[in-house]
Amino acid sequence: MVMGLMACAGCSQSSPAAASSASTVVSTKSDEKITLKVWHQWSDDSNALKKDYNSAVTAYEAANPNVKIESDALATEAYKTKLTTAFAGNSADCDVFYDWSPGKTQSLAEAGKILAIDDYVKDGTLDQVQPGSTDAFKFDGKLYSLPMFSWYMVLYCNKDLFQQAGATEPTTYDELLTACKKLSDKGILPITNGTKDAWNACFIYEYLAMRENGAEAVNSYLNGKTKMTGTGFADAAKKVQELVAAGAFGSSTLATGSTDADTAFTTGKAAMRIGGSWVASNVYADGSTVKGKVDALAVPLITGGKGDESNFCGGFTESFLVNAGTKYPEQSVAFMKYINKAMGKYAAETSSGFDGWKDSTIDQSGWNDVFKQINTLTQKCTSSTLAWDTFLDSAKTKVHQDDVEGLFGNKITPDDFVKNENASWD
Amino acid sequence: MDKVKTKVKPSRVILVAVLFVIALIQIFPLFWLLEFSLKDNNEIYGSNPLALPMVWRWGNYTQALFSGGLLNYFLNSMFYTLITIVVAGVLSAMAAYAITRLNWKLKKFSYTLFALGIMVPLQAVLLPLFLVLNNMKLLNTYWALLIPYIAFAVPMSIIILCGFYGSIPKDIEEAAYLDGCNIYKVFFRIILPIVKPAIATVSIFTFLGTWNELMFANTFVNSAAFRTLPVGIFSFAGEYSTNWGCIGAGMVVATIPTLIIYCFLSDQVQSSIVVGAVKG
Amino acid sequence: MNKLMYKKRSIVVFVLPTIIIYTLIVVIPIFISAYLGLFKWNGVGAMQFHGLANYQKLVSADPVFRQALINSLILAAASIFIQLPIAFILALILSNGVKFEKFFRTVYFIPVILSSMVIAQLWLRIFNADYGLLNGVLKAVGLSKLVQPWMANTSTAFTCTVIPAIWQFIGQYILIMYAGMKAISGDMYEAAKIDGATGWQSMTRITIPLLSPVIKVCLIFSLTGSFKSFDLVFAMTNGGPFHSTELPSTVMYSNLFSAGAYGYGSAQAVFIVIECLVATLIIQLLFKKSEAEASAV
Repeated sequence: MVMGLMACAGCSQSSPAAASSASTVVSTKSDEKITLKVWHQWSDDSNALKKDYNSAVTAYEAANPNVKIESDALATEAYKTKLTTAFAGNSADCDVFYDWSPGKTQSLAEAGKILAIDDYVKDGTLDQVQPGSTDAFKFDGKLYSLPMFSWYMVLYCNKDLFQQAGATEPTTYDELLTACKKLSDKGILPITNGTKDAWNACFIYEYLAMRENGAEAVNSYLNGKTKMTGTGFADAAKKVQELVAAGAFGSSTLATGSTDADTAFTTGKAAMRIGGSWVASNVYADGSTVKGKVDALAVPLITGGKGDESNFCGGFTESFLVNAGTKYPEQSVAFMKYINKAMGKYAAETSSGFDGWKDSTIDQSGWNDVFKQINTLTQKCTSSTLAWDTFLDSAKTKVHQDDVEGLFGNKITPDDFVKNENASWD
Repeated sequence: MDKVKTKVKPSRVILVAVLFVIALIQIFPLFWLLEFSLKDNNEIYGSNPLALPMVWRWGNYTQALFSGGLLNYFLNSMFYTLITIVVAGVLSAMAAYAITRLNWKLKKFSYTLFALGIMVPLQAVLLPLFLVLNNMKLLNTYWALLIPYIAFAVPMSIIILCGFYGSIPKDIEEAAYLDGCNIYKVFFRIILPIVKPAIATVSIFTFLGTWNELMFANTFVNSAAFRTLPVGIFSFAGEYSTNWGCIGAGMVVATIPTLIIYCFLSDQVQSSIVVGAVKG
Repeated sequence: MNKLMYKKRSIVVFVLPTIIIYTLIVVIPIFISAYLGLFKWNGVGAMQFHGLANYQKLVSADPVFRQALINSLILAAASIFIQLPIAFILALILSNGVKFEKFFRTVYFIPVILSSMVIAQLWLRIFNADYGLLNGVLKAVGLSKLVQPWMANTSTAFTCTVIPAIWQFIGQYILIMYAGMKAISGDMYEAAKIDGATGWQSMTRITIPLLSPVIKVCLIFSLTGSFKSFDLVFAMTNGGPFHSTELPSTVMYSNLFSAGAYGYGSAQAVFIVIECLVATLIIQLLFKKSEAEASAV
């Protein structure tokens, strides 16, 4: 069971730096040359993270001449299938691998397939990471990994379209409804959402649930400590349906995937997008017509809800872990520490995410304006909730996704929604 | 057979016109593929999905071809596919012949057994097959894909070939045996040439099933050394967003040999030699 | 001659190697799947024996799977009654010789060559509510009333997946039937013509009967293909909206790889195999009857 609250750690980029460059030299018992096999999912060469990963590996090999890193990358869906099959078949031929879903990692940990690293971090590594950033990687009291970078959910607004409709960028839920009305009256799609992709559909519910109940209550539910109690969860469900009924998402949202929605927003076809901090890079990518026209706001507060500005959706889920079956545990852990830290730094510098490690040498000059806005927002963050599908196990995730889809289509009442979700724990 | 060309009938013209319209409908996706291989995501998803690219991004092609070793994957795919076509073709031709033309007790059962092969959804046998290959220590070698590809090409080939063998009059073998041939000679010298169109047809399907195959190629081999083209192409699919332009470029590169081979093989289908010396 | 046809050794040579490889790679995994279907398993942890519960649930308590089955039957019907007849007609025209035959033969096959992913993306663009071709055409001809989000409505989404499925593989059946027609000796048609047969009579008395084994093959592929179909729906809708476009294999896939219900997914896989098997046997029986009648003539 993952312990404790998810402290929002990526916020304070300005915290004092500990000795930031972790030692990259590995103490091997002899000078034997070994090869470490690493699996990850950055297969697209145009992905900045892939280039960064490759440079990090080159640097590591240079500093550790007796270690060779052999990396294999597969695209996301393919990677998921491969991981499932390889571990199920007891033939995961890798030493270090990347995963981004603590819920699924948990089942691997429980089955003893990943290496617990408590013994390897007694050298002060834990002081170098942001507080609370390792919470998602602790199962049954043991630590299995270290953070890389985090993401946060924000509300993106297209300033021009808001101006056209004479609407104001909303800070509360009621203002959101008003804005939606003004936008649709002018024929502008208020919010584009990738409802066809289940995880994206869930963003809407999960944000509302967090605002209604507060991050602590949501995390308590996700950890299995409490069921959905009180009216907050049902109210969040009601609000999803309210938004749908008000036409906030348009008529074809069920057929719109997340990429479709991202593109719709970055080509100026919708006024708002509730999405992860990664959308900021899309805004400044080639082909985007909204550069300089976007504001990032915190997802609207709910008046009377228990959540406040210190709560965010998001957190640290991505990480490199060590296969329990590895022949080289020491070297694998050493590389794993190095690469998690290196990628955290790169992500922060390329505005792909927020660093999980305390590092004052981060070069902020490459940050785009929207990312800077998000960074400022997250300074207030003290606790966060992960995306539910990365946290819950597969069976519960499926129930949750089906239920949220049902909300969008009016096929399930808010009370039945809560009943169903609670029942999935039995 | 010579056609004596007299007057061109108007109904003929209409017929050809209709066929052209159908052809346009069929060729449209290829045209669309070429189009989007030159676009970026924003054009594909938003502003310009069906029209010609506004910016012709040949960079998609250079990116697809040169970064990430697509050429090597291309050669691997060629290797797997050609071997599969030949081996599966020979094995299927022989097995189908035995099922339809020879006499033995288990032949109906064998046919049904082979027919099972086309009923199997690949995703279902992914893990079990993985376990089998793992136990045979064949994973991450060329055999990891060759053996499954051949095994899965066999059922469809056998079924098609059985269909064809069924159309050949039984008297043909009689004539050959009377001339003193043994069964191997009959098979290789007489029957095989007759079913050339069928073999060509079967080869086309084997080619398609193997060249485009993604699931097995993804799971049974890890290293780039044994990787196939489809896996390489789909490496452009990312977690949050997918680079469709590059995927399109990779697919165009993958489709060209398919088209060429299909053209060549379907010519073989066109030519048919029937032994005319059989009494009707 | 008959003696030669019975020679055990040659039969073994012709068949055995194939059977061995095939059994190992195709048959055994099916049985492993059937075995896994008896368990409750999330893929990594411990397996819990569950008996026949998974199989029972399949047939009685799973509305999503039931809808998927119905969908697959609709797809099969469309395939048999729309796709095959069109393919037959086109194959007939092509094999009888027509100008540009080679060109048509090549072009008609193109959709089959393209990956289903491409086809899926293309038709998503055609059916797209905002910038799609279909809605664009409807608006242009003044039928704006009919404009709707085709892929988002549960009533229309499935049909929108059937159309590309039928269209994509017509070329495949054209090819098979064309090859079969080409293998029929031209002499027969000549002889028939001399006897005064019309085109229609030639077709019904010569082509169709002689093509019967090939037609049987097409029917088998068509049915099993429909029951097994996966790629297109997966890429277009992933079974949505609200499971209205699900097919048995998309439900199975999501159980295997998303919901961590490996045992249940395996049971579904076995069901699909059995379903196809039954369909094939029925077709075999039907054709046996008509073959028997034909040879009695």
